Formats: sequence, C-alpha cells, structure tokens
Amino acid sequence: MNSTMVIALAGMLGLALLGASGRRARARAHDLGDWTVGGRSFSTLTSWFLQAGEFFTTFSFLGFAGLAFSGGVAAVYALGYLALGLIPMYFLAPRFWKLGRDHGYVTQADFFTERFRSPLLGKVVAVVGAVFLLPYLQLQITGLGVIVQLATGSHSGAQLSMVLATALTAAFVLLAGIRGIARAAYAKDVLMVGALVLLLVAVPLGVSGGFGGLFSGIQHTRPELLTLRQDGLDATWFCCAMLISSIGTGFNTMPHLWPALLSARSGRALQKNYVWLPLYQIALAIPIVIGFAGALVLPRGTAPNDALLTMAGHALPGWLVGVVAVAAAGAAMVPSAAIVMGISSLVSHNLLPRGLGGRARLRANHATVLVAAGLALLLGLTRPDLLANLLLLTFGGLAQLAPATLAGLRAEVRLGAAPALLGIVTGVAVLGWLTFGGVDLGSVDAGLVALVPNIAVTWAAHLLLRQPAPLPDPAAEPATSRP
Amino acid sequence: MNRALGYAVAAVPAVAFFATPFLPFVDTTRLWFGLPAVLVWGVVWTLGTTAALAVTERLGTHRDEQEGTTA
Repeated sequence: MNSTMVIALAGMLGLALLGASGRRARARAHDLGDWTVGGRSFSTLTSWFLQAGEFFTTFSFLGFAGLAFSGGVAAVYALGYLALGLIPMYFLAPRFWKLGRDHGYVTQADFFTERFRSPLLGKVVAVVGAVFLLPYLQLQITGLGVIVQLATGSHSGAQLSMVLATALTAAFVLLAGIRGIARAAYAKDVLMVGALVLLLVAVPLGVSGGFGGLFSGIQHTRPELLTLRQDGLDATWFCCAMLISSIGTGFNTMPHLWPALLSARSGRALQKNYVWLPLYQIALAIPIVIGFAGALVLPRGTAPNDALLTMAGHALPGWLVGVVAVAAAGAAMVPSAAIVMGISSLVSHNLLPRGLGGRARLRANHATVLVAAGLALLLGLTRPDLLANLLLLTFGGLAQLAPATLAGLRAEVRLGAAPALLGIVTGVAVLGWLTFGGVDLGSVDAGLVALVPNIAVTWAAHLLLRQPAPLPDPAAEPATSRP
Repeated sequence: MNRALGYAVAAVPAVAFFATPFLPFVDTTRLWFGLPAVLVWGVVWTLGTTAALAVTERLGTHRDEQEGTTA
C-alpha cells in the first residue's frame, strides 16, 4: 500500500469521524425530525457549508474537468446553472422554509402532501424522488472508486475504498444525521478549495509556457475548444443544459437538498447565503482550467473523467495527490450522505404506514439507509452501467416537479392534486419515451421538452377538473341592494 | 416598486448567461487576460450574480418575501 493510498484511506476515516462527532444526546437521537432537519436551528454559517457542500460533488471534480478536456468552454454551463439556480432560490427559499416550519415538513414529499392535501401525491413524489436519487448515489460511489484508482493506480484499492467510504458514510449518517453531514461538510469544503487552489498553481506550471502558455497553446492547437460552436456542444446545448439544470436547482426539485434548507434557523439565514454562494462557485472554474491543461498535454484518447487526477499525478508528489484524493473523496462522501438521507427519509416518513411509532419509524429509516447505500455500492461494484440509463432521467425527471412546486408555493393553492399528479406523470413518461425511444432531439434537452406536455396536461386537467364557482345566493346579498 | 426593481436586477445575470453563445465578442477564440473569453464571461457573471442579489437585498425585497404571503 503506497503513501497516496494510506493518506486517502486515513482522510476518509477522518471525515467520517468528524461527521460522527455531530451525534446528539441519546434522547434527541431517537427523533427522525431532529435527525433529518436538526431541530431547524442551524446558523447561517452551518447552512452555508451544508448548501455549498452539496453543490460540489464528484461530478464537480471529475466531470467538469472532463467536459473541458473534451468540449472546452462548454463546461462553463456549470458556472451558469449553479449561479442561476440560486436566483429563484433567493426569492423562494424563505417561503419553503416558512411552510416547512409551520407545517413540520421533514421531506420534499411533505410539501406536496400538505400543499395539495393529497397523501397520494406525496407518495408518488416520494417514489419518484427515491428512485431517481439511487443512480445519483451510485454515481458518487463509482466516482469515488475512479478517484482512488487514478490517485493510487490500484484497482483493488479503488474497490476497497468504495466499500470503506460507503460503510463510513452510512455509519456517520446513522449516528449523527444532518448534524454529521454539516460537520463533514466543513472539513470537506476547506480541503476541496485548498486542493483546487493547489492544482491551479501546480498543473499549469507543468505545461510548456506555464499559465500564460496554456491557453495560447490551446488557441493554436485546439481553437475549437474556445467557442460554443462544436458538434453537439453548440449554443442550443449550452442554453438547454443551463436552463434545465437551473430549473432543477432553482425550484428545489432535488429531494436531497430539502433537509439542508429546512434545517436553517430562519428564511433570512438562507437568503443571505444565496447572495454569497455564487462567489464560492467560482472555484468550479479551476477544474475547467485543469481540463484545458489536459487537452493540451494528454493524448486525445484519454478518458475525459481521468483528466483532472491524471494531471494532478503529473504535477504533484504522491502524498499531495493523496490530499487531493481525500478532498475528492469528500466531494463524494458528503453529497452521498445527503442523498442517502434524502432517500431514507422519503421512504420512512412518506411511504410507510401512518400508524407506525416514532422509534419503529426511525429504525425503518436507518434500515433504509443501509439498504440504499448497500444497493448502490453493490451495483457500483458489479453492474456499474445498470443504473446509468436511469441516471439520464434523474435531472430531467426531477425537473418535472417544478410546475407543481411553483403552484404549491401560493398562499392559496388553486391547482388540484389530480392535475398536478397528471402533469408530473406525463412529464416523466414523455421524458422516458424521448430518452429511450430513439427520438432525435439534436442538442435540445429531453427534460426541457418534457416540461411542455407536463405543463399543458396540468393546465388542461386544471380547467377540466376545477370545481365550478358557486352561484350567488340571493338571500345573502347585502340589504342595501334590495329595493 | 422596489420589489419589481429587485426582480429586474436579479434577472440581469440570467440574461447575460443565456446571451453567452450569441455575443460574437464573447463566443470567440480570442483570449481575455490570457483566458478563454467564455470562461472569463462566466466568472464575471457568477460574480455579477452575487452583486445583483446584493443590490436586490439592499432594495429590501426580502421584507415582502419573508412574510410568506405570496410566492
């Protein structure tokens, strides 16, 4: 076992121990609400780290560098969608938070159940959320394996780290719930920003001409990477990818992001964070720069997702690659913890029978954590491509909740549960058909297209099913109108 | 009035991001400060999002939203 591997494994253990240290006293540890939303008492700073921590995933490390490696400035869509997603949330988050506090929401499905007065709609949203989050969880675990394999060069070490990281993540989530995620997020965010700055300095130094030579080299050898006029990565793709992703984040359609929102002390604490969070997202430009360096230096046949850590391996000594691997592993573990919490709370809180007692529900919740994490790990190790198709639906599928979510935010919800349900089901079905039915949409996003029939069906069903306004009662007319 | 102005200010970064591929001086192979123009534009408007939301905050839009009476 080399030094890189030792540092990577020790770092993962350290992150998990930090997460587990967030465990509360025994009495509070048996409360699902406290486990999931931390008594709605988190400060602005804690909320900041929770929210920021969930934006940076393995995809931020590997995917954005990979997209820049193969598609150049197309990767800038990530800066756009993350910043744009925060704008609607600046206005909407206090409303979500206030509804959550007033009605005791623990999950996204609670919002649908309460706002539309429909347990059925809540259950459907819970199923949709849990099913679409599972491949996202597997993506994090598989990404962690890729990170460790690239950093250490060991396939067996990668598998060991996937098992270890999944077990450690499940353990600290079970022990400490959202408080544990918040503590791990502090360390992960500091590590991650440190690692990215280190890479920003070290990687361009390894390129002929340094930082200045990097992009002039690209300008001469791969100028197509500097524009949005590439096959499949054109203006339409850029705008569609940015729009569908910002709808997903901007209208709070991802179930695993709800606990971080609901756990805040106040709506204002969230709102203040949304003002400053875009500054943090500028760090995402660093993997993009590293991806460009890879495009200049690495062979064209290199797997895009390998670009960042391969460049790190060229530029840094083994022990520093280990530190980068710990930061990248944190970018898998913290979002994994939030995702597994999102799945388990949807199942235990919204899908199990109402009559279940508090302790039994918490036990079922914890069992779901183990089953979901175990299933994602098993599929990641044995059938890594099995859920890949479902992952294609995750973002576009969850975005289908956006129209009903917006309708549910009104003080008086005029949209009925049936039209909302019909719209969601239509959107998801059309998305499935567009994705797997061989329909060629060019570079237009299928999730965006599916939103059109979703909204049309919702609107049509609303008009057809709405209750007619009661006729005026002549006896109730004011006396002054009578002769 | 402040509320409408707050929404308008917050919409500016959105317009800028979606305009990226349609502005010839941005979607170009030329470099700005030694970096791809699209990347610099993206970073500037990420900063611009914070600036726009800070202005919205100063306009006091949050006072209406905090009441939670409307979406």
